[in-house]
Amino acid sequence: MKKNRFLLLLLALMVSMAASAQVILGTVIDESGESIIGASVVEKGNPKNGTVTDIDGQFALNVSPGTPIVISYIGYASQELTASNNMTVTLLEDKHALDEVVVIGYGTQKKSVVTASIAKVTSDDLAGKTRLRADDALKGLAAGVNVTSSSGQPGAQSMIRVRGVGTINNSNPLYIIDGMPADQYGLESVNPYDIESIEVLKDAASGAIYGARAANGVILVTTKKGKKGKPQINYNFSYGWQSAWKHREVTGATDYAILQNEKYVNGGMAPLYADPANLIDANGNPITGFGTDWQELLFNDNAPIVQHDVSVSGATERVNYYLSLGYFTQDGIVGGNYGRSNYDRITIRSNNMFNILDDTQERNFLNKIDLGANLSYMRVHSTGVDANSTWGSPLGSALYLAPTLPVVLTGSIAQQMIDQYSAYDLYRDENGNPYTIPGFLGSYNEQNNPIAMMQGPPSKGWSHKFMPKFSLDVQLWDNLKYNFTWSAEQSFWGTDAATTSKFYLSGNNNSDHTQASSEKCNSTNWQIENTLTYDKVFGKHTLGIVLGQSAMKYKGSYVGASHWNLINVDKPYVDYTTGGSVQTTTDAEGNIIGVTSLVNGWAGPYVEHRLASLFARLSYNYDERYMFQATVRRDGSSRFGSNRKYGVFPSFSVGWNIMNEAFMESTRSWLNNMKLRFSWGKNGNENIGDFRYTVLTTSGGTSNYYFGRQAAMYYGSKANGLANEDLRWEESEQTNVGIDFGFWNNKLTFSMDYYIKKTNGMLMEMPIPSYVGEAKPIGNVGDMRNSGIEFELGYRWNIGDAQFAFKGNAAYLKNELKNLGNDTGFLNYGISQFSDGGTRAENGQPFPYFYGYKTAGVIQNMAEANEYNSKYGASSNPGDLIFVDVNGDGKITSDDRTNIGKPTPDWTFGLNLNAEWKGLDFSIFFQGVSGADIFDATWRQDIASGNYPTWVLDRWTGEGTSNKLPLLKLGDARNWVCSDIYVQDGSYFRLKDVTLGYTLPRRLTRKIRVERFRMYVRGENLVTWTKYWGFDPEIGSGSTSMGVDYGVYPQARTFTVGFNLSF
Amino acid sequence: MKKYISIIAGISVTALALTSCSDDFLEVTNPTGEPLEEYYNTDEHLNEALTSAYAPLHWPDWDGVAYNDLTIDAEIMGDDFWVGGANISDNQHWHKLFNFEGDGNNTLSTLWGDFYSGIKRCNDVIKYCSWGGGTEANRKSFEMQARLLRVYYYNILWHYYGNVPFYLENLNEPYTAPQLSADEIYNNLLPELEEIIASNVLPMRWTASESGRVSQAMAYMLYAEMVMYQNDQSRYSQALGFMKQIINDANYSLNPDFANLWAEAGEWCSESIFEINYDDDNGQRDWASGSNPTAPLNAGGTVFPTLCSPNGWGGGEGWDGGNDGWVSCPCVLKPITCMPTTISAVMLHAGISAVTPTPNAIKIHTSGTANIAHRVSIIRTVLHRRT
Repeated sequence: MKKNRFLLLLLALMVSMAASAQVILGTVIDESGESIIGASVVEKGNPKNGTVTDIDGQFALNVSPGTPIVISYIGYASQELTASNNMTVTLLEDKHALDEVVVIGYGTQKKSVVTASIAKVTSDDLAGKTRLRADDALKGLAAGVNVTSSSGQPGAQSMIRVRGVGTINNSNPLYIIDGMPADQYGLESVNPYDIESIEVLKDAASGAIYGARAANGVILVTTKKGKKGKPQINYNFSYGWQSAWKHREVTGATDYAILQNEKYVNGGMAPLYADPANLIDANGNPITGFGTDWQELLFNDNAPIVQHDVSVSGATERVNYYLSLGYFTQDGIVGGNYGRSNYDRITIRSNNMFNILDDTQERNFLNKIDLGANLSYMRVHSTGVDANSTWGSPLGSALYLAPTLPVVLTGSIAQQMIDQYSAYDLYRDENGNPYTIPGFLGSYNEQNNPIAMMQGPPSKGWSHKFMPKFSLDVQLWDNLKYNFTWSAEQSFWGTDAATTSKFYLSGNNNSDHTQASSEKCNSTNWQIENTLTYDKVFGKHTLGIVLGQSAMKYKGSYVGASHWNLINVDKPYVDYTTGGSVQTTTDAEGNIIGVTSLVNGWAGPYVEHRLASLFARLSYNYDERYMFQATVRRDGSSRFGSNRKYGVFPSFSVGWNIMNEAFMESTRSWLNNMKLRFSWGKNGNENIGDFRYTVLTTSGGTSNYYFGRQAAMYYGSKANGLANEDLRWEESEQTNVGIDFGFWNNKLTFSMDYYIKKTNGMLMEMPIPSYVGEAKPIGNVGDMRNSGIEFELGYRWNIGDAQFAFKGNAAYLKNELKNLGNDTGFLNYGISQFSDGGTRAENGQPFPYFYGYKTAGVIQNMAEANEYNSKYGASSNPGDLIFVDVNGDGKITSDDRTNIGKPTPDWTFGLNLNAEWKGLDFSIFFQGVSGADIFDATWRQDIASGNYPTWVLDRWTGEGTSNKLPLLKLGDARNWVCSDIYVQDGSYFRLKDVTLGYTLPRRLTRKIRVERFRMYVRGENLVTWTKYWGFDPEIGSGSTSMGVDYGVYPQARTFTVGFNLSF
Repeated sequence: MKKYISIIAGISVTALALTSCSDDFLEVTNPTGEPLEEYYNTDEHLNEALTSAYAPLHWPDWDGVAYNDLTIDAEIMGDDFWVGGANISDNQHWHKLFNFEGDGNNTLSTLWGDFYSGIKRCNDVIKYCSWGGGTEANRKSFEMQARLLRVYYYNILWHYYGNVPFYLENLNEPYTAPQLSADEIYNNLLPELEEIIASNVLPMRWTASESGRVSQAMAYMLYAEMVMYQNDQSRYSQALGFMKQIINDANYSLNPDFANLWAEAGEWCSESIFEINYDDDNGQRDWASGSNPTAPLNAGGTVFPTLCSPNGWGGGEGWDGGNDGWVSCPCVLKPITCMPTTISAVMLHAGISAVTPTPNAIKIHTSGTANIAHRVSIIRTVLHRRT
């Protein structure tokens, strides 16, 4: 209060001093007549005499009329006028001043002089497109950035590949949030609303400033700052209803019974069902219609997804702040209603910048100091179900369970089941009836009753993450700036899980004891950077130099424990158990043959990771016509071998703004931009694991031996491998050429990029003889090649009051694994239910690809069978598949397996249309891929009682019935091998997002002090055009599991209502 | 102003101090491993390394990839063995070999890796000993055990493969070693063996708590066997001399009760020279599994009894569980009669190399510690093939 009085006094003093001058009043408005808040009004030549416009766009300045004043505002052309009382100034939008600035890592660059290949996504592009992870929003927005949702599970991280899969090893891009790498969670910790822009450094020249970590592309995230003017308060709210957009088609009770009978009869067994049209379930009730629809029972329709975001931001001459609080919660569409697939996040961000010294008017050295202090925090609670598995996941099981199975058993059959599993406490429904155990009524292998799986407590994951950042900017001399930044990421995460009953779901999923377990982990990652920046314009020469140093250190530790036999299942804590540390099992003669430990603990540090780096960048352009940029970074990493501790990563790029040449003057009326770009560079992939270059001791079972008459175990130790001291980073070398066009003052823009990206020295087991007597060492032996072309098109136009903007992009990618580097030239990753094929890496093939037999239809009759058998020495019958003799050796052998598809798309594209008319806004966004294949592994033929996808109805049942699928036969090992009958076209085109919004006129809302109020409705994943019959054509949690559908947890179709409120 | 300058200077200095000496900065320690040079310098640690060199003796049982029990390997192409299993792909390599159809994909391929692992580990022990850690007496013993064990491993490779790559120091880039002819291997191994014997470092017989280690007597036996296998008449008298030394040694004598040889009580009896130790107190007699060759350590002893018991016989008669065996003898009437060789403590002893099936092999086996010396079957194979 005292301070305020003092200020008032000061103000009064100033006013009285200026009494000789006059107070000029005025208003600043934009072209549409709306007042501009926060515009700067300054007396020309006397920057100390200035003010900013208030909420009504009004200002008062102490100048005498006729004095020249300058009025400026970001995004508008500044105006110089002579002061007059009650003046109204209309500022015009400055297209040139809006010239985009691109973040390039340790600096920014005007887009017009960018020579590398950088995709930029602004907060406007992001708006509303994602709630959880901003990188998801890159899907379809940035050409060459392929985002594949791994599943629809809340919190699931998408797989992101920048310009293809760069290596058979870790191909994840580097994430940098406000200068700090975010390895552990990607962009989970950043509320998308806090993001100002995302830049994707796609080519090697742009990535080179991040040297040894940039080989898979760099995703730079810049969070928001305050804007000068009065504080801005925003509140965003949305509520959505999510549902599965598709159920998989599986057979109903009658079809199921027919197929089962057929399978058993063909297998030489008696049919199972006397009358498939009139079935009776295990409880003795007649089955009507479809029978039990397990998917319908399992899917959680209208699962809520809710979001609240509040932010306060603003800036004065001395302080710039942006504060935000976000809350996000999502229930999954599978298990979300049971607390099994839920996600809940709080994010807090506080970005602050303080100017503590500004003597720029007085001297040109040490004249400005800014301090920055940012702190952000994230807290997550999550639970999840197995999202893509045919080995007993909820959704996978729902596909296998017969429609003839009741959900619960009643009466005597229930008692029989209870008796059979008397050692267990079966899960029961609210009426006390036990949930059907599939294995009790049929042969279902690992499959569980998905509703029973939802009982009992889930495993609960949690995490806390703090990200502080401190920075200091000093204007040293002229345009030489020094920056010091310390930033850190402090994470704590863990899991609490309990088995609170002796449950039984299946032979693989049961427990004969109760148990509690808990794990807690933490990590600290800090980074210190010092950079010197010099930017200067000398006439037509523009020079920029960055010199920097960076050091980073990661360390962490974990501790966990578990203990059997809870005392009170409502208090499932490790320390609250009945005690006892071991349980022994003995054979009939009383010899101990097994010892089970009831209490287990694990703890230790994570391997530290350190980086020490130096980097430099030189940017130069002449008259914005000829641009040149060179970057070099030298990275030392704790992961590199002793002989290769430091890697140097150079790059350069050049550009030519043809339009700025005098001879193009005549075309400027319609062609305003034409820029050629070329870049070359080398990046590294430092993500190669720890200590692989050296040999240390190891101990364990393979080192132990028994000595002595009583056979006492001696614990041995040994060297853990063969050293390869030359082990180094994987290297990626990329060449990029691009061209940009702008027509009619950038109404129409078009860009094209072509690149070749070669990965050399990919890590793989070395091709050396096995008589070395040890696991083969890892070496830099493989090569991969990606090449592609990317297009971006933008068009803005107006029809009357309506404004339209179209943005489209498309990217083509060709990937080839040139050389895997090991001695076989291939590596099988497989698909879980097949022993004879699946996902694979092989020299000369795209990585990864599906490997299996090619088929050419079905043998229709005996004559065809005889011909096929005599030709290939086979013993097939009518109804069996015709396998193609790919290698032409006259036999069908495992050598005939070949490339039957690939999960990576050839083309990815996105189309975005925005329209605005008066207060209405509308946006529609399509996204898709083509040339991708999906391996539909959702149906396991080995599950004897399993239900069928409806496509099995097209099986062969006699001559002329099917030339694609073989006959159904119990125990058929001949036909259901890994072959192209499972491979489907995974191309899709998806109406990803439609939003319709309405902003109330400001003149109405202003009356209640509301600056802006917008309401909207939104639909996501409304329509998907695809030939693929599964839940979702997008499947990709990692390079080698991409495109393999085990019954993936699909993305939801979501309807959302929401509003944005600004004060 | 000065204040700011000093702040900046302070921060810069701190920053530089934190980031200079980046070589040191980049050194991180592994929380779960020690640098070899710093570790293998005590008796205890050298003994650990030596223990790990013994470990591959178990691996032919199950090495994470294939079953290659030496008793079966040695017999598989003979006329006194019949393959079994559920079908031809059940241990396909043995089926193929049995039918003389072995090829590059169906052979005793993993045996190769098992024993080269042994050789590599022995080489390491010898290297670690050369660094001079621990007490001299122990170091000498460890080194000599490793050298003798290495001869043993090479001897098996020599038997099974003939010409094999040979190296006595572990390989570095480009990780290749010359392949020597069988005769050259012999000519390299025999002087090595003679040197080991001449050094007289190893005891004639280890104490009860150390039994299982290679001994001087074991070296004598190995010598005799190799000389016989090579038909190296120039060394016959020397071999005979070694055999006589064993016979005359107070530590060794024939076991009075022959049947006792096959009982747990007969393990490491006075007749026993070398056995591969197992322990059956660590699990149910079983098929080993898993991708590591640790299975023999938790399969209730060697996997051999499971391998050589009849397929389709669900246990009983003292057998622990219901694990099917692999052998499908056409002669199966009773499991007892089809045991191809003894499966319990088979001993290698001077002058006696005959092996007799025991009537209650299974029973003895399941209740006791099972030991197998593969030596016997190898000698038999030798004799079989040479004659």
